[in-house]
Amino acid sequence: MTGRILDGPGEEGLQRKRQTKAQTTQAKAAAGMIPSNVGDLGANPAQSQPGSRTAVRLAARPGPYVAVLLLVAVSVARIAATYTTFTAVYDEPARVASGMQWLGQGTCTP
Amino acid sequence: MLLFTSLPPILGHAGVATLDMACAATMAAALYQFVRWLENPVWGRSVVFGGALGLAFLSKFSSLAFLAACGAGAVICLAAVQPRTLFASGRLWPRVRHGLIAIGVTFLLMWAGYRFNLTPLSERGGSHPSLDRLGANSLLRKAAHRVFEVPLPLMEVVKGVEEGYQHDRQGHDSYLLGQYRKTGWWSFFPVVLGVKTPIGFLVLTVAGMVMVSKRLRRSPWQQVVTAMFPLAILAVCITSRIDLGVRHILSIYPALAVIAGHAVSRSFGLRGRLSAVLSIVLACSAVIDSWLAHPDYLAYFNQAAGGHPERILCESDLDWGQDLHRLSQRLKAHGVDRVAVRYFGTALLEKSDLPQYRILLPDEKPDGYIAISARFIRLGCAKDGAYC
Repeated sequence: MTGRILDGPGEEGLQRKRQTKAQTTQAKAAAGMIPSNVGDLGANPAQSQPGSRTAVRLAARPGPYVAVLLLVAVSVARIAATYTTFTAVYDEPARVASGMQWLGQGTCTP
Repeated sequence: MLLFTSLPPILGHAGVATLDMACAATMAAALYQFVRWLENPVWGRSVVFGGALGLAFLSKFSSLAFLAACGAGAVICLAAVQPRTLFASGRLWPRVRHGLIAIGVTFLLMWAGYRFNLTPLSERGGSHPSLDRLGANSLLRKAAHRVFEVPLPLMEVVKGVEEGYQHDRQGHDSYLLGQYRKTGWWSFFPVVLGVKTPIGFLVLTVAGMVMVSKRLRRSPWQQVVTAMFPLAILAVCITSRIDLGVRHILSIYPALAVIAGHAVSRSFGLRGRLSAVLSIVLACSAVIDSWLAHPDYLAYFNQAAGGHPERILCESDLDWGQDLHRLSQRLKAHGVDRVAVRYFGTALLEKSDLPQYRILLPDEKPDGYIAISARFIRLGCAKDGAYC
């Protein structure tokens, strides 16, 4: 640990490291990978274009989105796999019945 | 996301036809949109936030109490811990204006959910004894009658909330650690969370909470607010007299999963590798616990509950009637041709594949095969000695 501190990059090196980090952050923000207004309540409304930013993020880094979809798919499969084991359980039958009636017949008797 | 989708209570309740998972999902969406709206209250975000609020309110009335507590908690928390963050922009009026847009969207969506129905607060015309008692002034009385009889939107919500309030005042049959109560316990939901959540997940959540609370003034305000949401939801549940089980507090899990994920993420930034290794082990243990529980997610209890979870909780946390099909198969396998049944659940016994059966009475001393739901054995016995 001591060696690592002694052999550290020095003030010049640290400054260069900070500059590189700032440039990387700016580049990531420009690519929409991180929100530019994190931690800033009430930021400039002009920066907010949720739809386009999500599209840019998806194009730049599809990995996390694919991982989320996979996790959801696995969870759905795990839930569906229990249907053959268990009896169907439901609560508030009047509401479920109203919903089924609405979906099936287009009318609803609350 | 991995931690959240591995939670047995979430998997269990996502597989049944109830309002609880819908409430948890829409609550999570509403809270996320609330944070985004706080970040930058523009038109688009106000509309989306209003829509998310409307869906949450439509899914279950308890979301009203949860979201009110979370909203109030977020404002109080930010005002107390990071006041500059909340008031720095000095743009109170745009925030109020966009808040009104969100409320308008919520109102419209909810009204659409009730098919734009208009109903008077009181269905009875001309007779309101409770109003008449208040004063003899005929003009005032007529005006009050008119207000009560004018058709208004969302009166179903008012009546639903009133019903929920009355239900909460009266309480509900509950069971905890061998005891019965109608009005519940303050400790019910902390115990439920303690035994129905994988231990690895719980430890990560506590670690995440500690990490955020140690840097309250330096952490990004989004983290502070996210850590406050579960506390606000828990506070609402603790004060409730309806102690039915983990399904009533499912809305807490999305925020807890974010906090647990934060703990894992932060552990990689800490000095030394031990914390990172530990956090990965805890996350893996939570996921493995969940896989080992398959398919009994609904009846899952962690290792702290021991071998007899029915001594801690019953009803929807353990036996909600989901095992009727298994019971039929088991009885068939044992060649049972007659059985006395006392079933707690919503399935129709006559449509199940049971052998010849009859309903077991509370004071009966039967012989032969008996199948009785844990709810009747534990809660019924603790309540009035039935089925003991």
